[in-house]
Amino acid sequence: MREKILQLKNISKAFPGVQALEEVNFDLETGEVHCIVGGNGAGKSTLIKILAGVYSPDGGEILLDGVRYERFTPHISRDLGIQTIYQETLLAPTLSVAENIFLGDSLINRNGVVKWKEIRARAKEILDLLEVDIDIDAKVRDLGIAGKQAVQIAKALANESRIMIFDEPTASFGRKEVDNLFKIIRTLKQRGVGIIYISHRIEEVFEIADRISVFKDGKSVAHHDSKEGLAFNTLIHEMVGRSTNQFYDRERVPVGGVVLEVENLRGSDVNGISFSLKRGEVLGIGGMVGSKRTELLRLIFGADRLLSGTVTYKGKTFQPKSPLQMMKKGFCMVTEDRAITGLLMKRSLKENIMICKYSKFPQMFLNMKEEERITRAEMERLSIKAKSPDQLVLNLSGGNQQKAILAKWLLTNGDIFIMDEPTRGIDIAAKEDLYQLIVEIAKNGGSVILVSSDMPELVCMSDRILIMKDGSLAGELLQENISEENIIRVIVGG
Amino acid sequence: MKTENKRLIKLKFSQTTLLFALIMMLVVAITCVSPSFLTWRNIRNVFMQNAITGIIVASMTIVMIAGGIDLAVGNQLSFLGCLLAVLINKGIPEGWSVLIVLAISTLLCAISGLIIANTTAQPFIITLGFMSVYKALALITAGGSDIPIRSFQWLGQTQLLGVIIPVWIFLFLFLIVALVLQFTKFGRSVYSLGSNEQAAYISGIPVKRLKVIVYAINGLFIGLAAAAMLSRLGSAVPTMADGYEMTVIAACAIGGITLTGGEGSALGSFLGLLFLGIVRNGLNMMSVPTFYQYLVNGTIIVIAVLLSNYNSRKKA
Ligand SMILES: Nc1ncnc2c1ncn2[C@@H]1O[C@H](COP(=O)(O)OP(=O)(O)OP(=O)(O)O)[C@@H](O)[C@H]1O
Ligand SMILES: [Mg+2]
Repeated sequence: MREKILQLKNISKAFPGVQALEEVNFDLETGEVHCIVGGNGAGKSTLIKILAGVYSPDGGEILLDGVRYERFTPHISRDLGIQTIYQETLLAPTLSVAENIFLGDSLINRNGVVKWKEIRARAKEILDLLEVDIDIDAKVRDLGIAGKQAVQIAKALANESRIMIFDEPTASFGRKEVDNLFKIIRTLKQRGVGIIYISHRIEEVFEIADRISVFKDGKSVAHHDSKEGLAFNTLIHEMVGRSTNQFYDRERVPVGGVVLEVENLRGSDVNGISFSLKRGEVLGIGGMVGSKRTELLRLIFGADRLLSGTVTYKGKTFQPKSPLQMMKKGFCMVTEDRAITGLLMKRSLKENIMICKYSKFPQMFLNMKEEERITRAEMERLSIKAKSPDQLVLNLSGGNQQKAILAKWLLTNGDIFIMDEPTRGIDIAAKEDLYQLIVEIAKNGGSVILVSSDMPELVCMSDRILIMKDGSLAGELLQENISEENIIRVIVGG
Repeated sequence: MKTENKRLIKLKFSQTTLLFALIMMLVVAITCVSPSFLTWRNIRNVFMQNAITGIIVASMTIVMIAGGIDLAVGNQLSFLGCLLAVLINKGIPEGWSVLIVLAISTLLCAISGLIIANTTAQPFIITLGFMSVYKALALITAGGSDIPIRSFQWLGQTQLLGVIIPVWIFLFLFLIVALVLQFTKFGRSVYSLGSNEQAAYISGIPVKRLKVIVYAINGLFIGLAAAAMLSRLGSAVPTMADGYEMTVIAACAIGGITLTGGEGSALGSFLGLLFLGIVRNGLNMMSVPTFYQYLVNGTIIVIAVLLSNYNSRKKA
């Protein structure tokens, strides 16, 4: 028999200028997965941060096992058995994977010696459950974003707990990693753990949810006690107030001649990759987590040291040396990691949006009026939810931060867009807007290299797909062969 | 809860406003104890006493916002002062001597900038090393004794509108730094570099070159400070500016710059310097013994850093 473990009543939370949560009610039973869906900035992360004790609510109450709390602190929350996997990974970058998983844990024996053997063995065990291929001795800062997310999940799994909260755990996971996570979640359910799960991937929500709550502008606007009979579109409509297709049907653009020729690129993790990109083409790059797709993109953009190989663009053959050089030639790079390579977290939205435009075009003085105007226009175009252009990026919701990264690159008027997981964490309406933007780029004669772990996205957007495996190309799918099955076949097969 | 929200809003008014209010309170308090504090003569004194460090605070503001630090500024200043004195006493025209010193100073800092930009070494450690190098250079140049200069005192003595020229240099440079940080692309890149080097690099900011330029500017300012200081004192002492780095860095920290960079402003550092200067001046006027002055100074720095820590934690 299921019983209620957690109940939130009339929870409100305001930040200067925004009502992030308004009289929200929410509850959780043992052994269930309660999903929260909603647009960017709807207040989902704020709610879970209240449960984790990071924020204290302005009003309302929390009932845990019938005991009433006005607020939690991180300490109380942990002691009560609540584990949170945050949207933004919070790990110690210079420690190893194993150390991170057991950080703050007392795997120290009576003599005060750290039980290294046990730590490493258990870390391995947990990561094997997830079936992610991560070296437990690697430093966390050397992992990609998906790797970090996996470590974050493992860290939460290492602690027995009664309530587990996942805030977009799969945003950069491929199908396989998602399947493994779901397997784990189902086991947890059987053990009676209550799970709160947040995701923008609606098909995932339909797969794993027992109950679904929909948030919009800080309010809980709808609730479904079961997904039986619930239509995909109904849910979308409740979330963003408009309908979308589950499978985006993009407008096709005629593909022109070759514009970019990449020849035998070799970096510390990339082993000699060659391909070409055509005018008006969207070239997808698929592969498993850890297949070094980000590394390839960084090499093309001149961000990492190239060991050998060349790039031919507009008739000139050269070696990418720096992002600035590539930017001036018309390249753009939407990076996957918001906090590390993407944004200046402590600076304003305005500064973040203008940065690339300023670096690309010669100019000595800042134009404050124009900054304000451009930022407001971008906020409008990409529906970035922010109080004002001066709001610190740190205080934006995850999806809105992602949109800020897109905006800063769109402003450079480039021709070649390199996009690494561009839809990571953005809501379904914004996703469609971005797809439309990509088509627009292609129509105007630009080209896009798209790395994505979201298989349907890769399938629906790409004109051609390259598959990477361990830093090499494992195969190529032409338009007529593109399908999820074929991608998986190439990934799994030789 | 409610109070937490209010606090967040208040902090929006920023450390600069807070600091300004603090300075006002300090002025009132000191004036109550010793009324001669708030006289034109004394205020002019405060500025005169802080003009030399002030010049370096101006450039250190840029360095620290960019996420760097330079611990060697004091010893470098002493060394350059000695060098300039030697050049002038050799009979090289004043103008040329100053230009040579400025060039050398800029070059020296550009070298530390180059090292910092091209290795993963911490600026803290690198400049700590340079500190000792400059100390030695100063002693070697001076040959172990003071060097009285035969000319060049005019720069430090001449008054313009009742204020000596070094003060004008200090105010002018500070204004320039404030404007550059606020209104130019260069200033913006300095903030970007300090707040996230990797993101800045990917966004097309030439981070290595920028670091070298930032340190080179610091060198230029140290050279100017050396000229001002030497002509003011009339003689070079090989240890004349030792320990200045403490005041300089403290002023920046009190003004809201963190060691991680990306935050702070020229106005903040200016107020930080003013604050320290007023405290010192006030203590002098109340004839507090020097020993205790160190104590007060130290305590203030610790409190200021705690405050700014608290501040940035709140924001996160
Ligand atoms: N620390 C903060 N200071 C100010 N505003 C904040 C802060 N944290 C969140 N907000 C604001 O509160 C609102 C809700 O943010 P929240 O992060 O909960 O959204 P979300 O539903 O998780 O969105 P996403 O899907 O993009 O992650 C947003 O408008 C955001 O800008
Ligand atoms: Mg969120």
